[in-house]
Amino acid sequence: MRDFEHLRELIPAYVIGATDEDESRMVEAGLTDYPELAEELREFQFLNDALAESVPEMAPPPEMLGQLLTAARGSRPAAHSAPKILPRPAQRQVKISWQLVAACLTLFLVLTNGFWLYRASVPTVKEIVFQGNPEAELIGLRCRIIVSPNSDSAIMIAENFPLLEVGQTYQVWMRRDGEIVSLGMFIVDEAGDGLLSFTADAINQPFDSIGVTIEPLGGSPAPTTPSVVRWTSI
Amino acid sequence: MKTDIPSLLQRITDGDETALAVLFADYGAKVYGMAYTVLKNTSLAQEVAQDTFVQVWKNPAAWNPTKGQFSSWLLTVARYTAIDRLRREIRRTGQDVELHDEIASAENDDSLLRQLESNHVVTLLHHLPTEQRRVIELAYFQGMKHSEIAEFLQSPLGTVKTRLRLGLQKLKDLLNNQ
Repeated sequence: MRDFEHLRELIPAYVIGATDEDESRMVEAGLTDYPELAEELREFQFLNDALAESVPEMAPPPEMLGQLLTAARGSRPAAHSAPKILPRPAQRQVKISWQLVAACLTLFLVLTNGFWLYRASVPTVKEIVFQGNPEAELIGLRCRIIVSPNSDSAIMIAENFPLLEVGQTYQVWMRRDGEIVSLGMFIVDEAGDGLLSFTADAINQPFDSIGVTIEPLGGSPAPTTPSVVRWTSI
Repeated sequence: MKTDIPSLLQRITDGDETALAVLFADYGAKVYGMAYTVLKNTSLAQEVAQDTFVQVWKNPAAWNPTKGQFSSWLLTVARYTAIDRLRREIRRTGQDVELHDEIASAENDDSLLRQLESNHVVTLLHHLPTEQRRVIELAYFQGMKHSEIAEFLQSPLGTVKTRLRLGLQKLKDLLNNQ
């Protein structure tokens, strides 16, 4: 039987990974002998987490997201299923190329060089909770807009959107002072996700609401269908 | 609305790159901050941060929600990845003391220092005696083991163990009493 008190004294260092190899082995073996040692471990785990969270956020280089997506694509494990091609006639439009997505995001982040520098102090990642019809809420339909306060560009990430029929596109609208303007169009992949880049000015100025409708491919000059989802500015 | 981590990780399991981009948008600055704090080198920190997210991409099931918050787990992965990289760099360059000294000079980085000082845990850390705080910093941010700290500080091993244990115990008590 190992000396409980000695093992207990090693727990704080063990939790932050500071025990030498032989000490770590002793602690791990002791955890099976003494249940109260596991409790001690849990208490210090809280401290370990607090130390981790104490590290200040820092702006990653602007090109990093694009590089990450490229690296991820190159290291996709076998466990990941191949992209699902659903047997549906929709989306004969040009599909989103993820190389293009990565390039767009990279370009966006390069253009918005200061984005990450502001992230720690300014809430630059805006989350828009769409309040649409019950069906939209049921499927967890969601959008978020990433924008830098000193940039010309913004990116909207759409998630869990319903798949489109042939010849359709999603179109994003903004209502400001009673006037409705189009922010652009996007289509979604098999997972229901899509991206749209538009000028940041559009949402940096006060507005009433943003909505997404389904329109004919190529877009419409004004909404022709009810909003799939809508966000009203607070 | 908080990001729904389990569903995000499920999408990553399915190979959804948008989900990875969302994860990066949410945690990129934290992970990069951790990597930079350990390595004090922007290129290495970038590689480590990328490696951290690629690890999540390759094995999203590695996070066990019953064992803690996703954020803490991700930062722990980032810290150990950074420490592994730091050790490789030390082996490669053979500049043990110089590299550690360079890292220790983080205290001279005004911007980092200001951010650190504004942090609650770091404020509490400054309530500890200098020698206890020093061994915690060496252990936590530079990944040193008991014996390595003793060698680095030219202190008896028993003294190092005691300082680290007392320092961490005191820090835990301070946190619990907040």
